Amino acid sequence: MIPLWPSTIASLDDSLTLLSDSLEKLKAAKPVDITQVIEQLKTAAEAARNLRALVTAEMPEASWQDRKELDVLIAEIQKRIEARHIEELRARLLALAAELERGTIVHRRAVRVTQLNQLRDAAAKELRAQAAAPGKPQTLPGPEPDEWLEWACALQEPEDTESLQALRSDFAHLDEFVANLEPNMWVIKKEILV
Amino acid sequence: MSSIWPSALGSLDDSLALPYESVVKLKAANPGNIDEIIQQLNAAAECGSKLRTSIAAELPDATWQNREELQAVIETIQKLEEARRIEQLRSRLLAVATELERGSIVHRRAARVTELNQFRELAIKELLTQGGVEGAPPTLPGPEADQWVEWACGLQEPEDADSLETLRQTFPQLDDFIANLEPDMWKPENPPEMSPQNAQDAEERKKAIEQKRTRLLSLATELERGSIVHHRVLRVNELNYLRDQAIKELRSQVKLPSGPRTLPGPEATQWIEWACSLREPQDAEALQTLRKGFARLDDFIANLEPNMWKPAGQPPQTPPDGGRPAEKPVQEPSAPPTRVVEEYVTAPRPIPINLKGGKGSGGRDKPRVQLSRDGSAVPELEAEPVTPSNGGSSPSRSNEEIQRMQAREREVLARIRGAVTEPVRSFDHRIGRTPAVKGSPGPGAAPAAAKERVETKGGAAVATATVATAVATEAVKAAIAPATVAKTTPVRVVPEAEDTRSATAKASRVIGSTRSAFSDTWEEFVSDVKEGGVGALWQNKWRMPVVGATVVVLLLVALGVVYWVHRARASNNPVKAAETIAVPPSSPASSPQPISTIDSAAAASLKPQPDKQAKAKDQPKDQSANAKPPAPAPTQSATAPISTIDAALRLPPPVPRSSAPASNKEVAKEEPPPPNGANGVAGSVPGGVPNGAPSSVINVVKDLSAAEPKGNTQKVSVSSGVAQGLLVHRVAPQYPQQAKSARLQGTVVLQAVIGKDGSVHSVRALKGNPVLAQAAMDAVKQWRYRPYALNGEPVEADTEISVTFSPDH
Repeated sequence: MIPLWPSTIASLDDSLTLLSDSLEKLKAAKPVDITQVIEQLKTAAEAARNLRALVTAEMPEASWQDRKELDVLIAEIQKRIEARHIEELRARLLALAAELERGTIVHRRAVRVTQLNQLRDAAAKELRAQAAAPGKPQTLPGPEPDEWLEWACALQEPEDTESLQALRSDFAHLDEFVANLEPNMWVIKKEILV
Repeated sequence: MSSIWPSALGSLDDSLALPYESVVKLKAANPGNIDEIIQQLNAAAECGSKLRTSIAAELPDATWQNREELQAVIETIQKLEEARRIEQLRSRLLAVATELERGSIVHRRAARVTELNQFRELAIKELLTQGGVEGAPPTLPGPEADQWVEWACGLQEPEDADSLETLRQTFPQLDDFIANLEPDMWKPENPPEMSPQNAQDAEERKKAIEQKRTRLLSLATELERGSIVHHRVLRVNELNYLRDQAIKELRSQVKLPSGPRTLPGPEATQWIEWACSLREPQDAEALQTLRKGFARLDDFIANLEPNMWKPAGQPPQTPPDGGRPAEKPVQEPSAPPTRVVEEYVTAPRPIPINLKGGKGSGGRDKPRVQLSRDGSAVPELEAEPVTPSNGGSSPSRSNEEIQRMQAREREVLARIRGAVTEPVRSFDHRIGRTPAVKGSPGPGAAPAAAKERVETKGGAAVATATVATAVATEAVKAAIAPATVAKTTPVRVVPEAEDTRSATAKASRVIGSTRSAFSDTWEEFVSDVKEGGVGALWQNKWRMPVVGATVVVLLLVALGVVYWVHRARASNNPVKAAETIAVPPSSPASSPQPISTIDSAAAASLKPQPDKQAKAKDQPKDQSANAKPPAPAPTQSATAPISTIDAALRLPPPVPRSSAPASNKEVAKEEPPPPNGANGVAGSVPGGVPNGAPSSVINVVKDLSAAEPKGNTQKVSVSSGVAQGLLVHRVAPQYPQQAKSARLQGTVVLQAVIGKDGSVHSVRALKGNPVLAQAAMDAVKQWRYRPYALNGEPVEADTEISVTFSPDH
């Protein structure tokens, strides 16, 4: 959700409430500070202009007549934004699975390499399974996929407990692989090619 | 309803329509014309302001919080307007009814007149009935009442079918009357100068006139009942004449059919005191009103001094211990000036003759003749107190000081009396009087003997005067003893009967003989001085008189200084003097006192006090009968105590001597200035009896001052001119919109009470259109005046205010 939306709408509603109060006083022939009323009017007009700009930015073709139609439009825009966010999360998981498959594990003992390769395969499968699951996938902490393994191997307790906890609960195989992998054991295919 | 409220509310709502619409648009984040909305907001604010002003004009205290309450306030105002409109309709019906009542019908046939009068009566009844019904009466078409009959008689069909139809439907009796009436049959009565709007107004106006009449009559009665006190009979006569003129003027004003003029000032009982305190330029307006409306009364008041007026029923000043009352000036309502004989007589025991013009015995113009103690007819005559010594009895002087002064004077006097015994005996010998007892007979003996002779020769009318048989003796005393001089009493004799006149002649003869006796004594003295030189003055015969005379001269100088100091004080403090005149209404009143009692009291006052006991021993029995001490106080009820107090507090103005007979001028010249003290009881008034109550009179004065109300709570009526002069803040009345649209105009007369703080306390309409009257009252309630002052004290003032409404101005 874009944080500008609620504040803009709240600003509009607040200024309109003050203006409505002043208009009620005028209607009852009570004395009001007309300069202040005009100022309230200008503030409300500014808030309306900002909201209109936001809507137009999301849906340039959108049109509405009243507040009800505006509210429907805003709800639609919010749905679109949410779907876009889920897609981004899935893409990130698949990108990390591809990154794991691309790299190579090096160690002086073959048994240990075999063992780590099995853990790598399980983690990649877990990531693909998460990305293929319906609904919103779990959010993977950390940076972009090409920097992710380096970032994960640097995590240490107790400083990064939160990230480690999130990793352990949502991505258990990935966490096990990262826990057994030392930074110098991982060689990405790109480097070998070079 | 032609109310302004719906349109005002409509304008407000119209102005707010666009702003409300813009709020809805803005809520949907839709664009709007902000400039146009701002313009509408300004218009709405202007409409709201106008609406508030209109509401405040109708209901100044109205408050509201929202539109619903505003609507309720407007509904209330509309109800008030409706009630006012109904009242106007009623007033109009009543005005037409009054117009019909006032006019008259003329026709060549009596039967037709009778018939039309019956129609008229029915029409009037109908109008009064319609005007009295609950709710809104039907609207009577046509112009104002004074033109209505003419208008109605001019209606004709089919041009005026609407008006005629309305008239026929709603006022059938009136329509009948008009249908039968021809324009030339109707004679409207000439409208009065200020015609009352309705019967209530007329009643109120009548009541106001009646109140004015009652007030004038009360004042006339007050003037009649009171009496004038002055030491000159001529002046008393003059003032009585002016008083009669004033009374006549007041009574003639009462008889005016259009009502009397408004008399400024307070109620009758306080009016003279108030009028005598008026002074220019402070009270120029009130004086001008008085002068214009009541010229004779103004003349009288202008000549009257506050201490000359003695209101009726004023209680006497009676010493609580039975002492004698103070001397009383001549109180003589009237006497022919040609019969006046004025004598200044040194009378140790005078026979006071009181010429009192009692209304009950022949009116003010005839002196009442009373029986003297010996049964002879004696005109009343009262001796004037020649003891002005205001300083001596001033309440500000302590009793100890007065007692000290009087004791000193008595001591000196006793020494002097011893010194003058010899020349007095010599004088008595020369006039042929033999002292009853050898030795010092006392100064009272000679006058008493002279009086006896006068009474014997004069027969029944001895009362000519307190004849100064011992003029020479008292002249010597006057030269040497200030205390004795204090007893020198001018007595005016105003004989009425022939007997009295003959007695006057006898008195004159006695005066002549005593004067020649004095002349002989003087010649003897001069010849002794010529023969023996200055040394002869030290002979045994003349030593004491010369020493006494020297002491007296020194005393006179000292007392003269005291006299002038107190006179200056008195003139600088007129209010104080005036306060002593005021008699609290709670003072005990007493019935008129027999003249003999007053006479004896006055005689006692004139008698030299220190010799009282000696004289009782020395005098012959027949004289002692006349020299009997005055009756005790409880039997005295002379009606001039306040005058006496006032005389004691303030010196009387110098009496011109030009009118005195030539033979008396010498005596008058020898009269020294009034002494400051006397040989009475310490602390009492000068001239008091030796055994009187200390400070009795002073205490009475104090009591009177204390009893005087501190604040002035009375309400006076002031003319509109006077009130106009006091106006300091005027709020212009709002011309009512309905009155303006209906072109209602005219003058509204209001009666208002101006409070002590200058604000208008209560206002009520006396005359004028009710709609205009309401507006006028609203304005007048906000007016501010300078407080109307009476004797320096602010008082409530009742006045009439006229407010004229004219749509052209």
